[in-house]
This record gives sequence, structure tokens and C-alpha cells, in this order.
Amino acid sequence: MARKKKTNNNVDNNTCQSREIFVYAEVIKNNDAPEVCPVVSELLNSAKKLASEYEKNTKVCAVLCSETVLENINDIKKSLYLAGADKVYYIKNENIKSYIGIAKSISELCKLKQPEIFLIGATMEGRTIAPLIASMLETGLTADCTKLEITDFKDEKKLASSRPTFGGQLMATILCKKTPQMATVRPSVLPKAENPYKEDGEFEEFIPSFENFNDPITVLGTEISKNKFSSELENAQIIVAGGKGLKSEENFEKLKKFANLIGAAVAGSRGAVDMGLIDKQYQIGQTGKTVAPKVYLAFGISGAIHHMVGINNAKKIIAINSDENAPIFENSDIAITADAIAVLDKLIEELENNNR
Amino acid sequence: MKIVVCVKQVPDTNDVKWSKENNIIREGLINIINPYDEYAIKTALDIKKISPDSEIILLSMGPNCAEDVLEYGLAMGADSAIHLCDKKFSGADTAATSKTLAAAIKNYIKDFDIIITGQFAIDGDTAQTGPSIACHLDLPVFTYVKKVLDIDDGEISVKYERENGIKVAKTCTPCVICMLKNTEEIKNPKIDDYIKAQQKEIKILNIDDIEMQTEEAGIKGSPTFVQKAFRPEITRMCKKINDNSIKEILSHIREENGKKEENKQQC
Repeated sequence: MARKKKTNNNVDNNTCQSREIFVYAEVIKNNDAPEVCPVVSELLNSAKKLASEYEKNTKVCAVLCSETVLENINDIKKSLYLAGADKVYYIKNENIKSYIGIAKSISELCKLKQPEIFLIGATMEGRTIAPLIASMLETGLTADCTKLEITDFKDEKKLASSRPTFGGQLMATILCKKTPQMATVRPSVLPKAENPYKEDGEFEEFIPSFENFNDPITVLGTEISKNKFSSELENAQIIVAGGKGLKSEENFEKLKKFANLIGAAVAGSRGAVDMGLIDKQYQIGQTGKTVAPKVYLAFGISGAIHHMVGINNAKKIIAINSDENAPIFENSDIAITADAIAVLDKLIEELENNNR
Repeated sequence: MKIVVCVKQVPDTNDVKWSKENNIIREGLINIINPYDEYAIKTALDIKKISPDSEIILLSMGPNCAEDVLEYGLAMGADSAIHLCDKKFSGADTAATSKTLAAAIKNYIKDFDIIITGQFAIDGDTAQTGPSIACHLDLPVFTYVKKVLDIDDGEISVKYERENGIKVAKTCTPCVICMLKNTEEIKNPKIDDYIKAQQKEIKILNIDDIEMQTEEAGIKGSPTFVQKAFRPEITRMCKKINDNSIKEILSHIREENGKKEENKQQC
């Protein structure tokens, strides 16, 4: 059994063990080589900050566990160290066929290493394995957080995870009495490291001992969607979004044309998705995607709080709506009370004239 | 086939009002069935169409008014309902909630083939209860399920969603399925359906009925707690500009996007 490394100079720490913060390094496989999900870099960078406020010698550990063979393990390891990992755990077991095997083996590693904090990206897989792991470890889990801090609570340092609740109308800060203190964290909210950390770090392979475990789930097939995991929306510098106010497919085409002229990505509100104007995967908001572009232009979107939680991290929000009382105006940088379709027409005209 | 459907009553979050002290005014909030749970019930009803001898049991934990959503589910076509109602259950986080629901399924319902839940509840939006129930009962779970494709001879196949695509997978029953909403319309029950539903039983159970210890349930059994709750800050300065200022709109776009290029040059 692998033991935790003893720290040399730390005598006052009664366990004499360095503390660890775990980050689940979700790997995604499209048609190309497996790669680490973008949210993992965000988590590692945050974990690094949390570690510096926590206890001395707190290590940030990326936990790699995949049902697919990672032939490019060295590249993946390096990307994790660069993003902030001090150590990489690599879990290997041929019985892992699905997220259930992943959850089982990670909880076994947790029982052995006793991490203080465990962060998991709030992707669909992350939000599936996190409650499984939390239940196996009998600890608490805070879902879909947008802010992480270390706070003092009754002479103890604790992870304070904040999250929108009540459809985004209320923020709640949640603490956990047990360890690991677990949280899933919404992608595209926390910043990645501006400068890479280091190229190398500790590495430990872990082979889970679970015997007689047959992963109960057999995946029969995957229809890989056209979009890659990190879709164009999450990386877009400019997003042009339309809502119910655009009324028709014809007008939505204008929005796409405008987006094309300025090199922007196209998105929609829940209202637009419900009207069938745009596909669900381009929906922004509480039940859709969270984005952080430099400029977010909202055409005919009323700006219900469900929508706003998805764009809070946009640098500049420009809203165009014919209703001067639309809630979006309260939380935008530039407010234009006008018919969104007419403004679109004028913008397209202006751009086309300039290009001639 | 015995199907357990877990349902939750939630406040209609589209209709939240605030007090001057920035607290949510809970009085007068309309309680509705969690919209995702309607699709869970719909899925169960679809299964019952294929195997008519199926039995659909609704299960909900909550205060007295949770009975309303059970009545709604019975009117939709479920056969019976269980209401877990005990002061000792109150204040539960997702860990304690899923433990309580799992205890009711294991110790009271006992035999079952499928447990169906909604993927999210629109108030808490945690998506944790379904998988946690599965874990406590040591069952396989499918999350973000779009459609149940087939159930036959103890085997079930579903279509579920992940960011990189749609997956088709199978497992053995019993299992847990967490349903997404889909485009199929949910038919609201009619008065006749409610009248028929009055003949159906809603069983009210307390903590002893489901063989649970007080310290495992409710606020005592919850590892997480809310330190504070607050209204999200609004930090943007709302600058009004005229709709004729097309050039100004474009300059605001270029301004932000231009900064990126400047930064690049500095690198």
C-alpha cells in the first residue's frame, strides 16, 4: 500500500502528512487523441490558490482515470503540470468501462489518500460521478459552484463553495462538515492560469483493488456531435445571441449573417430554443451554457435571471430590446431600447457598405 | 414491472419576489411539480403502455403540501403514491435526501425494477439525488437520459447525453434512470383524471416506517450546510445609447476585440 510522503520540516502537523486537494482530470475522446477537458485547467488553477490559503504543504493533485487507454499519457501529464498540478495520480484498471467504474476506483483512491478538498468539473460526466463518489465516501457535495474560497469557520479552515440557486435568483455559500469537501464547478467561470506553472511534477500510478467488480454499464455506441467538447461558444471572443424578440427563423438568419460579418459565434436564450429558432446546444443560461466572451450582444432577449447567470462573466454586455423595462437592461453595459430586428438590419447594412 | 418515480414539489422559480431586505418571499410562492419529474412520470407511463401489467409508484419527501404534486402525478396516471413526511426529514441536503429516499425504496417498497427521477430539480438544480440513490442501493445509473429505447428480459437500453455526443448504452435491471426533458408534450390531467386519482392511495410514512435512524436524516444527517445566502450583485453600469448609433455599437465591439490584438503584440 502506498503511503503519503512525510513532510520533512513540519513537526507541528500531528499527522505529518502533506494535505492534498484533488482535481478530477476528466479526459474526453473525440475522433482524435484523448485530451483533458478545458474545465480541468480552470480547476487546477483555482485549487492552487486554495492550497496557498489552506495549510502549508498542501498539494494539488490531478486524478486521471479513464475507460479508454491513454496512449498519450505523457502529453496529458505535462498539460496537467502546466495547468497547476503538483502531482498526478493515474488510475488503471481494465474493469473500468464506464463512469461507474471511474467513480468506484476514485473513491478507493480517496479512502487511501484522504484528500481535504475534491473539485470536479460540472460537466455531464462530472455531475454524474461526483454524487456517486460523495455517496461512497459519505461526505457532502455542493453542485455547480461558481466561486470557491477558503474561509475560517470555528477555528478551522474550510472550503466555501458558492452557487446560484432558485434558478439563479439567489447565491448560497455552502460549507461541508466532512472530508473530502467536494464540489462540482461550472465550466468557463473560473480563470485558467495566465502563466503556465511547471513542466514536471510527482507521478503515482494507482491500481484499484476492487475484485469481482463488473462494470454494469455497456456503452453500445456514441454519436459524436459535430461540435467538439470545448464548443465554439466557450472559446468565442464575441457572441451574438437572439431571444424570443427575434420572432422568426428569417430574423434569426439575419442574426447569423451579422455574426458572420463580425466573426462572432451565435447563441440563443431559452425562449429562442423553445421556439425552435436555435438548437439546445447553443442555449445560454442556467440550464444551458455559461460563457465568458469579450462582448456579448443580446438581441431581443428579456434577460430573465436564468439567462443572466450564463453571461455574468462576459466583459461587456450590449443589449438591444424594444421593451425599456426588460430586466436585461439592469445588468448590461450598453442598453439600446429599440426593435432588435431593425437594429440588426442597420448593422448589416453598415457593415456591408463598409466592406464594399 | 414495478416502477418507482421520485418526484419533488418546487417553487415556481419564474415567479420569485423579493423583500426589501433582499430575502425571497416564500409566502404566496406557487408550488409546482418539478418539470423534469413530469418527464420521469411520462417515461414510466410509456413503459406501462408496452407492458400493461406494470405498476407505477410515486415517491416524494416533503412537507404536507407535497401531497399536491403526488395528486397531480396520480392524475397523470401513476397507480399509487408514497409521501415521506416527518419533521425529522426537514432541512435535508442532497446526501440526506437521497439516503431517505433510498431507505424508503429498500425497506418499504422492497422489490422494484426501475427507479426514475428527473435529472434536475429547478429549485436546487443539483442533479445529485438520482445518482446518490443509485449508489446507496448499489444499482447502476444512467444520467441525462433522453429516451428509454428498450426494456426486455431484465435488460434496459437508453439514449443519454454527454457534451461530445449522444450515447446508447445498456444495463441490467434494477437500475436508476435520470430523465432530461424532451420535446414531447406533457398532457395536463383533466378533471376526470383527478376524480379517478382520488380512488388511489397516498401512503404517508414517517422515519420509523422506513427504518431510518434520526441522525441519518434531515438536517442532522446533512454533511453540508448553508453559511450564507445572498442576492447576486449587479455590477454593470447601464449606459443608454440611441438606436441610431450603429457606428457606436460597432465601435464598442471593436474596442473590446481590439484589446486582444494589442495584447498579442505585446507578447
